[in-house]
Amino acid sequence: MLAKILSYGLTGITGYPVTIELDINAGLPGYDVVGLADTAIKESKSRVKAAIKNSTYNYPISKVIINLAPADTKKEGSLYDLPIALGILVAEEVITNNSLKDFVVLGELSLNGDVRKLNGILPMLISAKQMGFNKFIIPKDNAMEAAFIDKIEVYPVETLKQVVGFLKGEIEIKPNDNKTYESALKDHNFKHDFAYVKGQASAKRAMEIAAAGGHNIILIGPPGAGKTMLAKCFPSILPDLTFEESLEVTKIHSVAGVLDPKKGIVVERPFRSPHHTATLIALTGGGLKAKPGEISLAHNGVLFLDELPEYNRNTIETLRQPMEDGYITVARNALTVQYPANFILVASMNPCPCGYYGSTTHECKCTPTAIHNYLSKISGPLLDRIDLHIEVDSVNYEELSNYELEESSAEIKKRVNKARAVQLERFKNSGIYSNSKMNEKEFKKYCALDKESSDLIELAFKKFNLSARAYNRILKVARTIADLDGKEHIEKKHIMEAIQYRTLDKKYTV
Amino acid sequence: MTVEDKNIVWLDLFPFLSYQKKIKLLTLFDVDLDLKKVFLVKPAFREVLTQEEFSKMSKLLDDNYLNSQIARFEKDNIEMITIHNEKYPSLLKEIDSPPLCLYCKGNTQLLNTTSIAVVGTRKPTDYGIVTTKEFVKELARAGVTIVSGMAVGVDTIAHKTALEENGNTIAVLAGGLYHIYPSINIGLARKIVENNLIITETSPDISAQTYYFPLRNRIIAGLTKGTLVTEAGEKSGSLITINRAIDYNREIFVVPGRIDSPNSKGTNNIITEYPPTFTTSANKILDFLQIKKENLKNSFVQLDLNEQIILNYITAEKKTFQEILDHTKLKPNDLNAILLELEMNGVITKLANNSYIKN
Repeated sequence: MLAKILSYGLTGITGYPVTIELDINAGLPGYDVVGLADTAIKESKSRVKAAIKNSTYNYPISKVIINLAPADTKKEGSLYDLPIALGILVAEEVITNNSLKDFVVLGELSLNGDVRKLNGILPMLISAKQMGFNKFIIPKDNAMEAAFIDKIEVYPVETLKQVVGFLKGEIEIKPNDNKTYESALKDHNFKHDFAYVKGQASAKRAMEIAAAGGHNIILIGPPGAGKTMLAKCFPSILPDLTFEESLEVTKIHSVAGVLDPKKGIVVERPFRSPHHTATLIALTGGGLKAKPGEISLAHNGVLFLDELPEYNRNTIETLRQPMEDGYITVARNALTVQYPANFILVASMNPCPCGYYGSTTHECKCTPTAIHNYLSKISGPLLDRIDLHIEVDSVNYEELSNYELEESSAEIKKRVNKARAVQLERFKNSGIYSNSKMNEKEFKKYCALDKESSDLIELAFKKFNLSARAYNRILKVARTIADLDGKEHIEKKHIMEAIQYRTLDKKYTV
Repeated sequence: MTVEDKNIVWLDLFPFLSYQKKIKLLTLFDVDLDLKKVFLVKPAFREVLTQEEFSKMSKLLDDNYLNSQIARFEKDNIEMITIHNEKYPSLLKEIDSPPLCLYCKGNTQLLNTTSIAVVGTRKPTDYGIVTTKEFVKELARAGVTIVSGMAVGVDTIAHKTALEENGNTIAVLAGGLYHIYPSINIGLARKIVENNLIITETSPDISAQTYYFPLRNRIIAGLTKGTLVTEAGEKSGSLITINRAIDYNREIFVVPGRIDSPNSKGTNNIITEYPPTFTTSANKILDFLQIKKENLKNSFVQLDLNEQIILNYITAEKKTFQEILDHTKLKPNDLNAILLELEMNGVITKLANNSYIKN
């Protein structure tokens, strides 16, 4: 008897339908899987057999042949356990094939017949919905993730027996409740808030600019100055994720298996801080299954690289291309996958190997050559992509012991949102969302200077020996500062402030 | 180029020849005798040179070879000024071991101008940076040529400040001109040769060895009427320059530092030993050089109220951005703009760690 069941597969974050054909023949008992299945799928034999028996059904004592169509695409994972088990039960005539018509079935089985959680449910459901499928049977633990897609019927299940009962019409399972994005957005708050960061006015201001214009930023300061704390607060002043952005992020997190099953969707801009021993693959994505790396997990959020010079130079150099393009293409021998990687880079570093160069509290013991070598671990091209350099000094006692709360993140966020709205309006229909992503064309149009300002910038270039690449950066940042200020044109004072954020270009050269 | 000039340039090509040996070889015969031509014939060479040195030198006796080297140097705008040349700085001639040839790049007219050496530690403190800038600024404005060694630290600041003030400066290198050291200052070197001068006694192809640096310091001391040390630790190389200056009977100016600062130990020691070197302003140097301080175009900057408040707050003691902010109660964005304006007008200097100091 032949059974035919619909399921789904993933390459990267896009799904494709998989048809599971199952046939039971007379012959020596056996279990053959064809259709480029990986080990996890082949091992389904034991899980399916045990789950069927432990759910009080009979496992056929004959030859089982399973074909995963399309047969020329590699398939992987444990998600076909449930459809295979149902296929066997159809072949054994426990349920009819007709009852499974229109259903897309996904699920891993445990030996006692329970249905277990999967990774990558959301991207599969989104892609299946686009293909016109609208009835799904999925593990109950993944139900929250599916709740944010409307106009589909999702039946969350817990055990194999429950599924069989449901298909026979003996048990009723309620379709998953839909949840709105707003409701998810409502009940979350940030762990870190600028209200609790004492002093550091200059750094906070720079972070406000970075958030408003989507600029990359580097914090330079001695150990214990609060660089990491400032960076951790950064997501709290970024504009809220829109639903579309959130789905993009959730897809990637779902595939990588880092999604919180209780929340089901990512509402907070991601904050990823890989350790400096992270390998190139860990950062960019890859491995046997071309999984997304840290930079993709930071999509629409923040990638925080603490102690930037400590990272392997090759590793950070690979960030250059995705920082420019906003996506990364991971090519492996079996498959080539494109993951989005549109993040704001927040980096931190010490000013010298000992960390105390220029500190007001400690003496620096480093030689000028050592300092120079330390700073040159970060290549010019990478520095070129970091718009704001800000120095952070340790906070003194008076400020620490001051119990008054500083301006809260919510207040800052309001200003950021306003400046972002101006930018969205400006770049409407151009595929650009922030000043940092301006191309030459937009740059010419929106960063035009009056005589006074261009004289000033010329003077500053001579005085501070600024590099040519600093020019565009300064003007882009000045554009954001003008937006925060609510001004249509860039003014002299905006440029002056922007020049102050090019520390690494103008100083450290004595 | 005369035969005697060529003799010197030829000897300079061999890094293993010491200064004394070169002098010996040059005084063996009449000045207008081409050493290369008689090298294999006259036994006197073998007496001065070791076997190895002799065989190495005997391989490069071809006149065409030397001429091609000289042509290459000249093509790269390297001027060879030997001790017999009238351009050779007269002050430098007075010392006990004047360089035989100066390989110069840039404006060689500076060689005979009134000059002061400015030297000091490679790792200046904020105090050292500010005092060096202050002294050099006044001296350069008064038309004094600033001579230093283009090392990192005080040397670099001295050259840079002189350039900023459109003053004259001479960098004296230890190695050859094809091997600018330290490499971090290659950009600075390029700037100096535009209108100013870089000199060295080492042939262009030879890179610096450790023992070249003390020898270089004797040129710095010998070239100038006086030497100014702004900040130097106990074992600073600039103390060698001072000792040479004493040997050559040149004036010494030493800026005192805090008694507890390791970076001022060297300078304070000199003052203890030679109290007259005690110097607190550039006027003392200008008086010694008998230069009347011109009424410089007063670069007075019109300051508004906020700038006035900030300037009164930032004194010789550096202040961090946060401190200035707390004091003035300005917004960070406005303060940033004001500080940049002051810095561009040369009223304040930004130091590491986002702190500022008054010039």
